[in-house]
Amino acid sequence: MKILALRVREVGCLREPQALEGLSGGLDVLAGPNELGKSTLFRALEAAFTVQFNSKSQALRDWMVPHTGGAPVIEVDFETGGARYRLRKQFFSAAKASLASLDGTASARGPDAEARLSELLAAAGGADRLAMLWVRQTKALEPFGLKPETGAGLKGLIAKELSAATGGRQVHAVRTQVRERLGGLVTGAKRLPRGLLKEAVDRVAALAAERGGLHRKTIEGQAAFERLRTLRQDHAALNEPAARALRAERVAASRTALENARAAAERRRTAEQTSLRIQQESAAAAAALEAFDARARQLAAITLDLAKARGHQEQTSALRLAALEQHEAAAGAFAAHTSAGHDLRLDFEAARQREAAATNHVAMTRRLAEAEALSARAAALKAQIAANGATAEVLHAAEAAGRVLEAAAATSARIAIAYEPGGAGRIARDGEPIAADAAFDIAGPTDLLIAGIGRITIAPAGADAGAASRIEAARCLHGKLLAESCVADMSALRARAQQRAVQDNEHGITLAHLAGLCPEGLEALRAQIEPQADAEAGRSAADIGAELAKEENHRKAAEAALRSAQSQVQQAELTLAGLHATLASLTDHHAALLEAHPAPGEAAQHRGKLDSAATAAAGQATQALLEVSAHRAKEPDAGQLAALERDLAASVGAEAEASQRAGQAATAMAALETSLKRDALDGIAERLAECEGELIAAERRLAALNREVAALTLLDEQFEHVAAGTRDRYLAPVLDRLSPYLSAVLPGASLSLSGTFAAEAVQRAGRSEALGRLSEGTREQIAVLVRLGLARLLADTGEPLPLILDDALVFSDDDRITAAFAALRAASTHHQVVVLTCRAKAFEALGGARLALRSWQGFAD
Amino acid sequence: MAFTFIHTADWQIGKAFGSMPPDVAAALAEARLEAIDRLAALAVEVGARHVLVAGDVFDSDALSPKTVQKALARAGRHRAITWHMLPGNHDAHRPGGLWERLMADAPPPNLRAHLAIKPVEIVSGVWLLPAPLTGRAAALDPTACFDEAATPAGAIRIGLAHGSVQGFGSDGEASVNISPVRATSARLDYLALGDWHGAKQIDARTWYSGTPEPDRFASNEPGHALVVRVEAAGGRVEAEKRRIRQFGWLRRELEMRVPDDLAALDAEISVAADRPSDVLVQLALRGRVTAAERQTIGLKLASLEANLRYLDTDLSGLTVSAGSNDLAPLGASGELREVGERLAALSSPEASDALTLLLDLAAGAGGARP
Repeated sequence: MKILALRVREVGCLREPQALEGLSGGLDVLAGPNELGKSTLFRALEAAFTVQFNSKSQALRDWMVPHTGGAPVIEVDFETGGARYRLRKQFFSAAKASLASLDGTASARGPDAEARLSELLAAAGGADRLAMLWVRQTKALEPFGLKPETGAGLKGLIAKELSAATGGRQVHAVRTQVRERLGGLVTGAKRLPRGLLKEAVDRVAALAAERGGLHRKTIEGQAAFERLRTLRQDHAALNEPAARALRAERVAASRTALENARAAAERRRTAEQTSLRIQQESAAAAAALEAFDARARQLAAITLDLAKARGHQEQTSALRLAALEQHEAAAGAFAAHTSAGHDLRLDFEAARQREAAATNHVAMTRRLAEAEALSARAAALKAQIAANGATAEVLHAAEAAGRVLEAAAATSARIAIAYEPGGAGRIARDGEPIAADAAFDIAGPTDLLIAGIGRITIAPAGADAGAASRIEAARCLHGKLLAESCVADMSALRARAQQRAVQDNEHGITLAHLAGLCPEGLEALRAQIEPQADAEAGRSAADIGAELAKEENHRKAAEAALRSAQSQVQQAELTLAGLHATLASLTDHHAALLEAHPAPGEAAQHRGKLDSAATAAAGQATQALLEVSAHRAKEPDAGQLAALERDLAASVGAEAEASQRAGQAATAMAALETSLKRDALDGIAERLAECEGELIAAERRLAALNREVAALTLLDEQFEHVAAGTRDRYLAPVLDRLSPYLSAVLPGASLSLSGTFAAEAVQRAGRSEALGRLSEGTREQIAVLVRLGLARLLADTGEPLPLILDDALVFSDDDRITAAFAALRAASTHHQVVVLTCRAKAFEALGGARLALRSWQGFAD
Repeated sequence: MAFTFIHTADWQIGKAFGSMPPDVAAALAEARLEAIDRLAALAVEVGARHVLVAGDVFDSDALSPKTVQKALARAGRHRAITWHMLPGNHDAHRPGGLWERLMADAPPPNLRAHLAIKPVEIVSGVWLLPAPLTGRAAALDPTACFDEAATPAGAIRIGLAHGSVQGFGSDGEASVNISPVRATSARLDYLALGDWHGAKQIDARTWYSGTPEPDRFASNEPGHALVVRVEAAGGRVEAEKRRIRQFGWLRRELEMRVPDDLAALDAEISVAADRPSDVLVQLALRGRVTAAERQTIGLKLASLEANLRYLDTDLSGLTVSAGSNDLAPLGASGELREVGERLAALSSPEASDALTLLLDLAAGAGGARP
């Protein structure tokens, strides 16, 4: 098919009749600015071939009918199958259609025209193919949106080359069923069980778990049977009469043996107690004899000791008397030396006090002289000060009055009065007549009264009324102070005042020295000196001190002798006291022994009796020990006794244990019988058998479903494998046609297409890049190239369709667009290529037949 | 004096058939109870007043009282018959066990449970020597004591035991070995054995009766009882095998070449039971058939299943051949055809299933589950 001309009226923005004519059928280019109506022309061409003339579509109306209204008319001249046709459709208002061969051999109107158009399009592969090759503005990157039928149709077209059919709808239907069934049994990627398969898996697991539990219970039941059998045997054995009698006999025998052993032990203990008593009696007899002999020995010894002590007592008494005499002599010497020392010490103290008083008298005399000099100086200064009236206060007052006078002199006026003859005394100043010519300064208002004439008041400028009196007062005071101080002027007054200050200062210092030197006062000091002048002279303290030291040495020697004598006396008295106590003790002991001991005539007889009794008791003790040994030999030892006790305990325990075990066995038997009965009531065995059967059936069911999954999976894989092969085969022709164009624009690249001919990835430099990751420009170019491939395939199969691009290469750079132009030019040698663009300058290099939109000449409704 | 009795065993009342559909399982359980009635009827028919049950009366020694009572009620109903029951390995006599409880719960008066190894005179001049089992296994031959068991001179001695006779290939379930010469060594006129579920003669005086109602797909002639007639002590013995079973259990593996090969089953089904609805079949098909034949076989199996009580089919050994004609439903070319050819070339069970499924789906049949 080729488009030869397109005319429109009242279509979109092209309200006036416009025509695009003179299309070459090769590369036709319409370049013009925006709003020229290029896209409207594109949509008009699309609508002419794909929309029924009587369509009521609102979407169609929205873009096709101008805002001002109208009846859109579209007329297309085209060539297909070697014939040329004119198709004309008027939409909406007075809708109509016509299709006529340009050679005038055939024509059809209305629905017939649509039917004929469909036939012509079907021969060219169907209207859907137009959608693949006519690329609307900004739509280049959108998918083709092929319906399965369309895709299959295209495949069928391609299959003419491949000589292979794909199966179309039937394959789709079978694959859908396979996938639905598989999807009902397993999940997508992980193939996890679901639906019936999941139920089967769960049921097998549940039954296996239940079987496990039942099996465990069954085994426990079997064990319970065996346990019950054992318990019954044990119970019967424990309750068997002969066994019970044997246990009783064993207890009785053990008890008798233990009682005999305990009796033998008791007999041995009695013999031991008897033997112990006899041993004690024998020891007492021997002790009595020993005591008699010991007392006799003590009596002899103590008699000797008494004699010795008495001799010692006499010697010590003599020694004491000698020591007392020495003590008395030493005490006299000591008292004499002590008294002499005392007297010397008193003399020494008196001499020392005398010497100190003499030294003091000299110092006080010197001090009195100094004090009297200071006192005289102070009196002189006091007199001088009293004679000088220039005190600080006087000086201060004089200076203040002077400052007033100085200030008055600075502001006063000078008045000079010169009397005329006869006039003397007639002028009075401030009431005082001025006797003669005078001149004076005034510091304040001054009244000059001229009797008979008048009063003249003179006042310095700015002076107040009291100024004159204050100046006068100051003058009077100043003069008075100078006079009282016997000076003529202020400098003399200041010198007098300074002199008085120096005298004041010296007077204070002199009084302070006097107070420090003689705080008690001159009179008191004089009174202290006068008596001392009468002190007598005597022995010096040094001489007396030397004599006192000698006497002290004598006293110490006498004291040592006294102490030695005292010690000897005390030692002798201590010894005597000890001897006295010893003698008293010995005397008492001796008396006691004499009282306890028989008289000398009876002692031998008494001792003989004691000796006989001790001998007899020793014999009895030996006999008792022999009897104890005999009993010990007959008595079982501790180990034998313990063994007998253990034996009795064991036999008693065995009897008790047997009873206990019998009771426990009876209890356990009852519990087991109940348990077994309960298990039977629960029908565990039956449920186990059922469960095992159900598990077999469930496993069979699961195996069948797994087989189904395996078969469906295999079938699905085979379908996918075959589909992939088919896809590769039917895409190959497209890729073959596409290849030269792709090489021109993207040298060295290859392309992967999906089953719907959408580009999926580009392989460049050994790498595959998904289309979505490429730039918009590259994607746009690839989309155009794919359509070039498809168009070329259609052309090669004898069903050429024009490729129409409406502003499809808007993102391409200069190099790429140049390469794309070359591809479009090459393609246009095989089929028509119509390019609509707003980039007139950029597309100049494209070449081709340049089209222009002109007025539709000869338009007629 | 002659003595006639019925020899039966392995009733295994209470056996569950969990692997079967619930309705089939219920019917099989009920049939085991009804076998008691049929045994009683046989006894009446042959004039026997004693039925000897050689062990495994019950399937377990831990059955619910309800199940046990059902069986006892059936037996008790036939008052003219005395039922001599012996604990086997399934229902061993153990302290506190089923038999103890059964005897404590007032059993029917015509029931005699032989729980001790002690000769019992069941009819004047006829002594029964029972060998009850007290566990699942026995280390010693429980019938050994028969050799020394004293009975009056001239008495008929009948042994009643449960276990496997050594050396005769009668390996039953129980781990209990019985001497093959016991009947001779113990001077028995007849040794009635249980455990082997098919009827089997060991020697002139020793028989397994088998179970009266089969419970599995076995090939050892189950479903009978023996009518035994002992002429006199040391005299001639006759044992007649009589069918008792309701259900026939068939397990077959068929090599399929054409769908009609299934017809071989028909005759066997008619022999297995009185009616097809009393037959259970476990069928495994092997071989290679065309897709069309595979579909025909599927239809035949569906028809068969409708007539039988139960049909379990294993088609994992049945593969579908893939000649050009076989794949015709997939078209001469195209993806369906290509997938079909690839599956046919794989020749694995999964591929066969997948191909069958593909053919079914392509034919619009929806595809049965494998």
